[in-house]
Amino acid sequence: MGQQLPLRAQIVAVIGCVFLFVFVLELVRRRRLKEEYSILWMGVSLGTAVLAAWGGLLLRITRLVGAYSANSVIFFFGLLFLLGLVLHLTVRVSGLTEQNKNLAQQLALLAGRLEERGETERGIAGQAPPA
Amino acid sequence: MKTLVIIPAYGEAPVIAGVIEEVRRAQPEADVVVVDDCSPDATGREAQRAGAAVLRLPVNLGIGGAVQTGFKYALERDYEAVVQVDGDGQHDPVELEKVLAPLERGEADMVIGSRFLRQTGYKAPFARRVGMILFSTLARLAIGRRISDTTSGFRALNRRTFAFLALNYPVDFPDAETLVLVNRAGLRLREVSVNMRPRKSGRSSTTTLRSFYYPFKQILSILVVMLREPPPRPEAIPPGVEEE
Repeated sequence: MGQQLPLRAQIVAVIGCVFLFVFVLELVRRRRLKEEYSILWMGVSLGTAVLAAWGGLLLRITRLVGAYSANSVIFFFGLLFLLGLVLHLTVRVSGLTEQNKNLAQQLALLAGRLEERGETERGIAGQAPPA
Repeated sequence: MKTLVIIPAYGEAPVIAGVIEEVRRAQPEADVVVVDDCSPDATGREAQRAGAAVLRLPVNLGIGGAVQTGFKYALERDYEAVVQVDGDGQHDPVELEKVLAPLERGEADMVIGSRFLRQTGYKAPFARRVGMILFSTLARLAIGRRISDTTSGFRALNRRTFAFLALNYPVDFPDAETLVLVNRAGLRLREVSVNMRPRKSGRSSTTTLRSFYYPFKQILSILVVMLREPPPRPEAIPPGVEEE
């Protein structure tokens, strides 16, 4: 049955969310994470904090979707979110793979052209240009 | 026809010079480009010493990515036809003439050198044979007529076709899927019978792990190609006109 979180658990959850928020902010500051993704993670930490602090909200959602326990609501939406995220990331990786392939091919073609030019200009076998 | 022979090569240093030599002898008019797919050995240097143009990929792209690099190279220059030949000496360059002939006569846009059109003495291992039959059946369903050798790496393409594939090419395992794609684009396929020699060096690009994944990937790819809108029939791009 749905019931309120104990106060202690609420505090721990909110502190966890604050840590996540600060950590994401720090990653962006050090340019380790793109802003577009940071917004997503900040949203997640804020949302979780709100759910933890305002216990009635989760109960209301549980009743709204017709779930039996608040726990399963959290796990269900958490899992859904992670699945969506992973799918999105594999789409991104596919795009990057394609870009990477085209770049590698273009580089090989350009290096070949440079080499040819070096040979005709100097009459000696040119080396591949330094990276 | 101004012809380019594309040889994708990975780790073929001991035999690549011999293959280039044979191609030269069989087709003295044709140019040869070796696409070195980031080989750990001296494949590129050996090919260069044998007098071929060499394109060195900075990362390993696999056979499809290497062949497509050759198509792009041919597109940049004024080639009217390309032939893909394996770098391991499996294909007899004497037969280049055979795969090029239907292109020269304008009877086909892409010619596949088939090992199975007639009995040619080539015997594939059992698992491979099962796979080949499967892809043949799939390709027949998708193309509407029989292609006996969907995994052949001995192919000749006219400019219209390689220009199309320079932009759309399945790079992982570009076999049956390519044929379906080319057929969907309204290009004419043709098979001619060729002999296959045992490879002189190297191993098949199909490893054990891949051979499990490969059939699924192929089936999926063919289905996806069929689900997509057919690509518009490519225009004949005259040599010398730069692609956008």
